[in-house]
Amino acid sequence: MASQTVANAVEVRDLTVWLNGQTVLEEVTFDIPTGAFAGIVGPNGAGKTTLLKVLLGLVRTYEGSILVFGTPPARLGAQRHKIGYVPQRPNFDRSFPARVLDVVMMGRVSCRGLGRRFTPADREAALESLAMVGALELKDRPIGELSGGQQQRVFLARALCSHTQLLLLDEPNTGLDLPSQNQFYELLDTLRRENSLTIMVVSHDLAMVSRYADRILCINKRVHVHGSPSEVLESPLLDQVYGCEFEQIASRGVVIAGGSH
Amino acid sequence: MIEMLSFSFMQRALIAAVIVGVLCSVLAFFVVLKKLSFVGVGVSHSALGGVALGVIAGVDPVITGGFFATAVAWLIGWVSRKGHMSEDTVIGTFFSASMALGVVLLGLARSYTADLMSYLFGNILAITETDLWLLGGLTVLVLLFVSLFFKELLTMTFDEELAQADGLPVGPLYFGLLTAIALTVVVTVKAVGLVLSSALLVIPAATGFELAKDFRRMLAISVATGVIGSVAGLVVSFYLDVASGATIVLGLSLIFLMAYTLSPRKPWVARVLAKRREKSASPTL
Repeated sequence: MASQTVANAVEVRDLTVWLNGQTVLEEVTFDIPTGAFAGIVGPNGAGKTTLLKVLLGLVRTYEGSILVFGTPPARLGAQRHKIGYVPQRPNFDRSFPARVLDVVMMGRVSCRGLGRRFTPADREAALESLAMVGALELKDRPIGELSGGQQQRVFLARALCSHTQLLLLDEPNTGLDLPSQNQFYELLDTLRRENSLTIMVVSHDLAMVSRYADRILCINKRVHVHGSPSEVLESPLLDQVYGCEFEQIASRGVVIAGGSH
Repeated sequence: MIEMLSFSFMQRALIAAVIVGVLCSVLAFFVVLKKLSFVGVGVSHSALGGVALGVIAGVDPVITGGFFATAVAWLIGWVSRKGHMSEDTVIGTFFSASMALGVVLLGLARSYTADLMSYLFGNILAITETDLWLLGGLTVLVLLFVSLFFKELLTMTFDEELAQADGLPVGPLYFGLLTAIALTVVVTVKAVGLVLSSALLVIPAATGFELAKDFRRMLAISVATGVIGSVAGLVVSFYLDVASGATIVLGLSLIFLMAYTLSPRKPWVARVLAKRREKSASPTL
């Protein structure tokens, strides 16, 4: 992984995104420094998932400037493997006849190259990835037979196995109970520290994200607040993002922040 | 059997059955997993319009049918991916319109009316050496495409959005698959006919899907089913003197029914298998 380190893993300037004729994001500007753990929070329909999809190059109807490791997403080319993505609910058929190891190896497709066969090194990288997320014992299980939490780990391993430097996660805790959510965030934090990862997590749970992230981006079409968790939790601008839900979120955030630090 | 093989048309038919079995079952693997069965039905029925155009214009129907089927397949793919219309609406519209066009055109070319049934249901006994070369050539091309891009096609089939996020050229891969399906439908016209070719693009892999929880085994079972079903259907049709295409499809359907009944995906079969495993694992006294 001997690549030059850029100060900001992600740089977004005046980003406006349209989907089906609707403005989903408007004049969004922010930076995510390399090595940061960033939480992107906001209510439903705020454009959080769209923001990730723009960074991944999946949505291209936008204006403004986006740089991922200093390059626009559409021009990442062979560097694309540096970005790992864990979707909210992977869109696969549970009866798909694939084992866990097969699914993780699919994450190696981008770094192996078009039309080239997998090598033993790909298998080793996939196994290593599974070990990193504590799911090595699942390697031979059919993917459809795993629980939601186990599947989440497998898809995290899939996102990590291609020399990933930027990890994008969309609501990774959907359907998980509270202890599993905490374990998952602990795991992300450990992975970030041990592997010099930059992490961006989309969530609508400000309280949970605040415990682990070192910066929070609060969006509702526009960026309303951007800063450290304490700055964001204390910001009166949160009203604009969450409206009437603010009281509840702030109190949960304070309680949890007080309890954990 | 030896008597059957003494006829050169039967030798060609047998070779065609094996090639069709391999070609269709490899593509069927992706058709079933990517849920493209209705696309297969739509493209195969649509090809009749192109075949009829060839008959009217005096051009080889395989060429016009190939272009027509590919164009329809791409149109289905393009419209459905753009999200303007659902895939089944597009297929439903094109497949009936193209078939109607084919029937009317073949009706106008009155001297060819008798061919309609052979285009719809095929006649593997009428396969010529040229047909065999065409079948073999396309099979090599499709197998090359699939083996070269197997990991990409599998990744796309598993989860298209994730594959796209990985930077895979999902659009070209998908349209490549559609083209392979369209061309396969057309070159198998003589063997099984347009109506029945879509069955060959589904049943072998559906059988594999019922019997395997690993895609490698599914693919192997799919190819074995395709070849065995096609050859068995041909042999039975020879001795019973009935339509070969229909007998092949019936043979495949029979294999699928057995697989479906005894599938490890069925709870009762899974229970029986688990008990057997327990028994064989327990120490003998």
